[in-house]
Amino acid sequence: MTEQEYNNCVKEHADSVYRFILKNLRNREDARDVVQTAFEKMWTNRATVDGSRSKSFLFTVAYHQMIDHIRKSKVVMMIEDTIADVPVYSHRDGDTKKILENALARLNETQRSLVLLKDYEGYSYEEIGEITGLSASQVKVYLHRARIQLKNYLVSPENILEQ
Amino acid sequence: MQINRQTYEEFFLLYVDNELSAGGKKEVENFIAQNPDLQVEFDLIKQTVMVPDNSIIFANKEVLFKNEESRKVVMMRWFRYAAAAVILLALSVTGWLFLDENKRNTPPVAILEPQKTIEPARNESENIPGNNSTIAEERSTSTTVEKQQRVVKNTAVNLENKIKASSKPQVVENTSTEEPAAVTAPSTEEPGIITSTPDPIEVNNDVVLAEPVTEPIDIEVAPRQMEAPTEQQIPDVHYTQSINEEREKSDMIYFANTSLSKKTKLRGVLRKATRYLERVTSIQ
Repeated sequence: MTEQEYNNCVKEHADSVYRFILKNLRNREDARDVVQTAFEKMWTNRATVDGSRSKSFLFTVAYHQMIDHIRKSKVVMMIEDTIADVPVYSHRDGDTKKILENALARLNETQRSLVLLKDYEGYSYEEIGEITGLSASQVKVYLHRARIQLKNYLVSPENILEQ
Repeated sequence: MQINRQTYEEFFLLYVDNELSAGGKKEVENFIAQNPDLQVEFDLIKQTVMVPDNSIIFANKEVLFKNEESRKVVMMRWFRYAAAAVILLALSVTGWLFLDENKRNTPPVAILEPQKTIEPARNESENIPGNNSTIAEERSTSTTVEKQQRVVKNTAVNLENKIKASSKPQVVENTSTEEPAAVTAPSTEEPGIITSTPDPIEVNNDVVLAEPVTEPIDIEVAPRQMEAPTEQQIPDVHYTQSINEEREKSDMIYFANTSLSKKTKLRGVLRKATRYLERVTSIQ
């Protein structure tokens, strides 16, 4: 990929990859660090990166960088757990977005990443498999389980009462 | 696989994931129309789709932008470091070679020295054209010293005999005891000559000749040192004896110093006074 392609990739995908990482890590500084590292790696490897697949490469590097970060810092996991365990009573009718945010926080990082890659970026099972290192059938199974888990959370008694 | 009331969930999920073809989507929509009780289930699954929050952006994207020129600057820096390293290496190598040449110039001196040690051992005053002058000087110095020693001793002794005798302390003691004042004369003159005799130590032949030069000096100085302290020690001995006498006369206690004899009396009085005060205070 050329310098132009790299800088276009920054313009087009920096926000989306940052959003994807931030939703997982729930920490802005950590998310920025991961995204910056991912772009650095893409720049250093630009000779081997196909310009047309720069987004896929970016998300792949960022995803693995994020997984490394989660494994290194268990504190992040603890924060996620505490946030996830906080009961939600603030939402009103139609405020399913916040319920979903909480439901998403309850998923493990793989399931969460699959949902986000599918819903935010619209990647196919195959593409998600390439990014995460899973097979397309694994992606399908894990993603469907995550959806059912999210759906069950939406229809849980506390959320139905609130809605 | 056909959609039915047992398999509808997977089709709903595939529909939501946008993994169905247009025909597959149409099939699901027809199934829901035929089974309206599953509409709620379908809507719930659709609600699980996350909508991206576009308000979240990566601020200050300038930190991510790259420029090829910056890479060139890095490369130039690398080359600069490499060039500096090469220059340093070249300088160090040339410097080392230069020093090595200097070292090569010096070895002849080091090579001649072993020759000195071997050759003169066999032939006393032969060969060594370069050092003949120094040996001659050393010999002259040794002869002058020996002549002076002759005057001191007033004895006709050969050079070789004197050299042998100088190694023995008995003969030297005789010289020192006879006339120490007269012996000091050569010692004052010698240092100027001795300075020119660092080499004889390396030359075996000259070491023998040089020994009489050095030893008489030490021995001549030694009696002077021995005499002076003995004169100084005598009054010390008397002084200590006088102290003992004073101690005996004054019937002083052994551990009390004579110089502090008056003070000890004062101390004794003071101690008595303090004890008395302590008793008084303790009673009170």
